[in-house]
Amino acid sequence: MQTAMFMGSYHILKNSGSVSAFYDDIIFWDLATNKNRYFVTFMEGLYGYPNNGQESIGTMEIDYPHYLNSSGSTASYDDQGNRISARYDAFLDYWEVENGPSQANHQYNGSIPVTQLKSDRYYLTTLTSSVSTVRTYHYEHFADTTARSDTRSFSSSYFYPFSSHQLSVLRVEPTVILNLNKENEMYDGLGEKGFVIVPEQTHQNVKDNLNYYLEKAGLLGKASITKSPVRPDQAKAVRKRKRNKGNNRRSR
Amino acid sequence: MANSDVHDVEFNDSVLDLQGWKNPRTEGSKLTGQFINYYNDGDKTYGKNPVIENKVAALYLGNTIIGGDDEDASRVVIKGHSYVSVDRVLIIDIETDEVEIIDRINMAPLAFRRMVQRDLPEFSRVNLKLLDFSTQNNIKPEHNVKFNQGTLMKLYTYTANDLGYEDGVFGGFGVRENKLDADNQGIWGYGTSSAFSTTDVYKGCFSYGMTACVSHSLFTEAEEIVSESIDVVTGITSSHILQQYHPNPYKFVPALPAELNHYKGDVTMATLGNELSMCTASIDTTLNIGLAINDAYSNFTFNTGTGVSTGPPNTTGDPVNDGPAMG
Repeated sequence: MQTAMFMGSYHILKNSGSVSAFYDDIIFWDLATNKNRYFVTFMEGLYGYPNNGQESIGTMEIDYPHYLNSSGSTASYDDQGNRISARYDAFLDYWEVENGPSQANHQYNGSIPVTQLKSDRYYLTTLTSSVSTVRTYHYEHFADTTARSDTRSFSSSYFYPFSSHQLSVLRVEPTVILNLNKENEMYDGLGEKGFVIVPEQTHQNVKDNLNYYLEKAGLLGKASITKSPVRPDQAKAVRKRKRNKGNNRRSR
Repeated sequence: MANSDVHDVEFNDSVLDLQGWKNPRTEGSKLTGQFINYYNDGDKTYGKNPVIENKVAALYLGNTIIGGDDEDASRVVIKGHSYVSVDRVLIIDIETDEVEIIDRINMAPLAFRRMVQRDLPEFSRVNLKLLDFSTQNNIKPEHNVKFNQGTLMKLYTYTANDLGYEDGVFGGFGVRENKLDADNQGIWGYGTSSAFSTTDVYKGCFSYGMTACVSHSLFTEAEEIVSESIDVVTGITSSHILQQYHPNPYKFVPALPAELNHYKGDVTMATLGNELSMCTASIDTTLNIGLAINDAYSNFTFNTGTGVSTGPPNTTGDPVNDGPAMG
């Protein structure tokens, strides 16, 4: 067990494995310098509000704490540097700084493991729906052998015992998450040719002739598929007026 | 209206107030619509047609679908969902029926990704079809795009204790308030607290634990501690558990994803997640693990998200309604 705030090597994260240090040194620093995006997924995607969006898989994007300390430390983020290039209290709130050890440095990570979420989403759950629950939590640390404690109340949508979660970093790639239960829906595998995704707003002409275009692209075997006739409402907006040549000609 | 010899025009000023005069000249005639490709009540449009239509003539092809039910341990587990990767796009010219397949490696990564995100937006419905007709399947006729930004590469899994102790982990309800200070630099702190008088940001937050020293051992692996006593008269040995065993709730991945390569020298994976936060040795944390909450799991009420929720019990006994009314 660690016995004091100042014990250990320079990197408290490397020494202790503290989750708070992990957030402070890596997650928050990465976010503040725009290197990566991080998400937290609660309860393996269950209990999310069924809106068919990100909320429905219990996934929230997190941000670094936007604290204002008297030193103006938030102005010192340098994406070329590492965590120690910014002040130790860059991610510490007012109370944590005021009640920190007298010789506080980068090894002091405070005791309020809270940050904010990104975007203007409501992050509803079926646990809360339009009604939230307000919970009060206790935070504590020792600074110079003196106990410092505080309580904070938060409006929560996931909370104990629904607090199991996974932290992830976003791998930016053309991948989408679908409500596709692979084990159940593709019990025989994908096959050798892969799959095609038809977007919702695909042109009706393409939807009507999907196999025609897939065959034309060489993705299906030759089966001499013919095109479906164009639907009346898919015809061109400007129609050519039929001319009656005889009536338009003036007789001389 | 009449013409004079000097070509002066007599004009009735009241005409200027007519919609038929104003709209095409100054006010303009406009259609308004809330959504692209959809008609919405309140739109100003012709009939019930969408004001703006943007139809897609592209089909997306791929060979990789990874189940979200822990098929790949490096990805976040999302029950009943799958990570579907797009490798190629089939572009169709509606006018000429010409088709072209573009591989993602032949396009700028950003351009290809934007194309996928534009045509497969979050909340939208898609149809997924296997190209190998001989493969049996049970694919639903329609799926929803829940997330289109990429793959969620797991860093750690936190498993809440099943002993009934509050752990302080929560995911925020509501939109985070931007109650910045006078200089718009930031806030003093999160949560409703007597320590702050200027800000009160308690919505839209996330916490990964509670640092009360009494709950310190809740975030580490705890051995079972049993106290035994022998009755000197009867000679019977009795024992009772002082501390129940529970595993470390944090389980980090064996190796950080490639996105965090530049931090590999800063962490020791074997010890990462050993504790939530350093406390002190001056408090004996072995006899208590956390603050017990009074509400049993079975007391929580659920809803389907479409009706009014009674919500979970809270400290005041009644759920607090500080959110919008949802249909």
